[in-house]
Amino acid sequence: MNRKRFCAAFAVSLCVFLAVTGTFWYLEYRSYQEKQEIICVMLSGEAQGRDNLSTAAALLRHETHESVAGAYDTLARYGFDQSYADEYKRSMYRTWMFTAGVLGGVWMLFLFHMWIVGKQECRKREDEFAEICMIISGMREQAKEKKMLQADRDAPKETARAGFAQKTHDEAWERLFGELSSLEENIALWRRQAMEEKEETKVLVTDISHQLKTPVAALKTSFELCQTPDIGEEARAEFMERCRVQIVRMEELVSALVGISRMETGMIQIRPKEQKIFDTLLLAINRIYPDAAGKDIELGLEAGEELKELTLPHDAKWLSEAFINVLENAVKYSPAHSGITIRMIQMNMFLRIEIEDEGIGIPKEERNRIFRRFYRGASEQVQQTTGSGVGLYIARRIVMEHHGTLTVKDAQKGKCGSRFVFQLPYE
Amino acid sequence: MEEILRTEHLCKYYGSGENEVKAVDDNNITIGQGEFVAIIGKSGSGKSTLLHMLGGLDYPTSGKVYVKGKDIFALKEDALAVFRRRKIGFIFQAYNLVSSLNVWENIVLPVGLDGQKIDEAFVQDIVATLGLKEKLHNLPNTLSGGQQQRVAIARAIASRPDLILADEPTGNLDSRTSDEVVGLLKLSAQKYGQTLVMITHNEDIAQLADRVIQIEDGRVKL
Repeated sequence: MNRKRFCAAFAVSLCVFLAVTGTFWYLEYRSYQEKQEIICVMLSGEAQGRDNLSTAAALLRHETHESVAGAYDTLARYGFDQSYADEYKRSMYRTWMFTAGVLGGVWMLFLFHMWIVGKQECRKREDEFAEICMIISGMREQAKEKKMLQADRDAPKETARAGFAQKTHDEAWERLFGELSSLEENIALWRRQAMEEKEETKVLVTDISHQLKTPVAALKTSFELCQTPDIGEEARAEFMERCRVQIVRMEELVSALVGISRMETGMIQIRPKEQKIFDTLLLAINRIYPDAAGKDIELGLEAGEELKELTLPHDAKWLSEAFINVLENAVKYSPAHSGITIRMIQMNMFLRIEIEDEGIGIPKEERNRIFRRFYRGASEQVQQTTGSGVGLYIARRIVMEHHGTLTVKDAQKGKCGSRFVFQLPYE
Repeated sequence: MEEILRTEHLCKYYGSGENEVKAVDDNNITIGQGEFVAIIGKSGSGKSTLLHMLGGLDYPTSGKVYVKGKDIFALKEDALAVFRRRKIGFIFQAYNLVSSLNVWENIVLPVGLDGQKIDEAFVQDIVATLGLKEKLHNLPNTLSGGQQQRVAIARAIASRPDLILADEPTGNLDSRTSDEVVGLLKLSAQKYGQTLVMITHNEDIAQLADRVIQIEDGRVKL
């Protein structure tokens, strides 16, 4: 509470105190006057020889005789007009003092209470200010470390919002306070996400080295066996073949890892551009077309004419990569002479793209895991097919960077097969 | 990860003696800030009761719920209502829109109840994100299920809560619309740095979550 408010409260309470005390004093004085009047009427009755009954009647009728004036003089002659002269007057003074004392006490208590409350509020404000200062300095600390990510963009907006508190009462304070602490938490969150990303990159490096170790070891063994002089031609050919398989595997792995590491370390930023999504999808379909044709897999595309012209912000190069990864899997895990259906469906906020195959399908308990890095299905068919286990991981990452989603469901028609669902926002 | 929500031995029992039903039984859950957590379980497994207690809509038999380190059931009823209004956004399966108010009025209702000034630019942004621009003056009963649920989402986000609790938000929607609604929830949670806790019985939807908590007979299944 500020000084001005305290002064106003003081003035108002002083007025109230004076008014209440004044009223009490006046009432008490009136009562004294009435008592005096009674005495005077009694005196004048006595002088006129009236009996007590008629005197009392006169009093009740509030008749003031001229002679009453004389009675005042009589009283004055006996010295009863002085202060403290009669008991009634003394009693009046005592009541006055008592009232003034009690009311004054109450007033003082009130002032004291105001003072205490003011002090407490002051302290609270100070605490709040201190906390706000801490929050802000904390934010500055974080700003010093360069990795603010979105916080850089969003923080000024948030602060502006927080500064909206125009009202100065407690509610607004509380809100400002809440906003600020939310902001602080948001910044902390973004910072933590940045840290986690960094941490993930570290894990990635470990993963990559681990993944490369297996084929290298196998290659080494096969190669050493090849070098043994007393090995038969047949065996040598077999080990040479094994070397070749391992080299192919390494090549696959390396190219996958290059993609993943570019993705992860942010070396390649996704730069969305407003462009036709259909063209991007077509790009991906054309890339896997030879493989599909080789297995006599029919590619069907279901998309309305209007969708061919639909544009949405995306990075054609990366998003087509995501489509390719899913389509490649579809071809890889589908039997020959089957079909793959690609559907484009216009929803309210998202464009939905479904890629459905008639392949081996994915068991329910594995659906969450297939998008993890280096995860490969447990089934025999998957284990026997080559793959690095990063395709779907990269695909989901890319889609997430586009603020979309990628999930897998049961195929719509038939029992086998899986259906990958992309959702990409229009804006 | 910084926690936003924590429960301590949270229990909710109905009835007594032989008829005692342990709807929620000794749950200790921690949810981090910015996380998208899906709670899955069969119907009757206690997940709705759990969610209601997480949001302070229902009182536990015993145990505590901390939101941002604050024991919410230690608050007086009025304070709890204010806390809920400011910090938590709710989305229900049945949308719970006010049928006599139009879409815009429904969205800004909680903000208005709180006596706050409506940040029009912010709400317009949400409305645009959720594709409701053309429907602002419609009454809820003229909208499809998916549209109504989007209004409910907009309403939950409009007060800028730190935590969004959704109880089977896609229960009444077809599969494609469900995917879209969950995608939107995820999108807006990311955009506004919010934590999302969602009940669902649909495992396909749970794929989108950062973490899945499975509830069985009132307990978290590990």
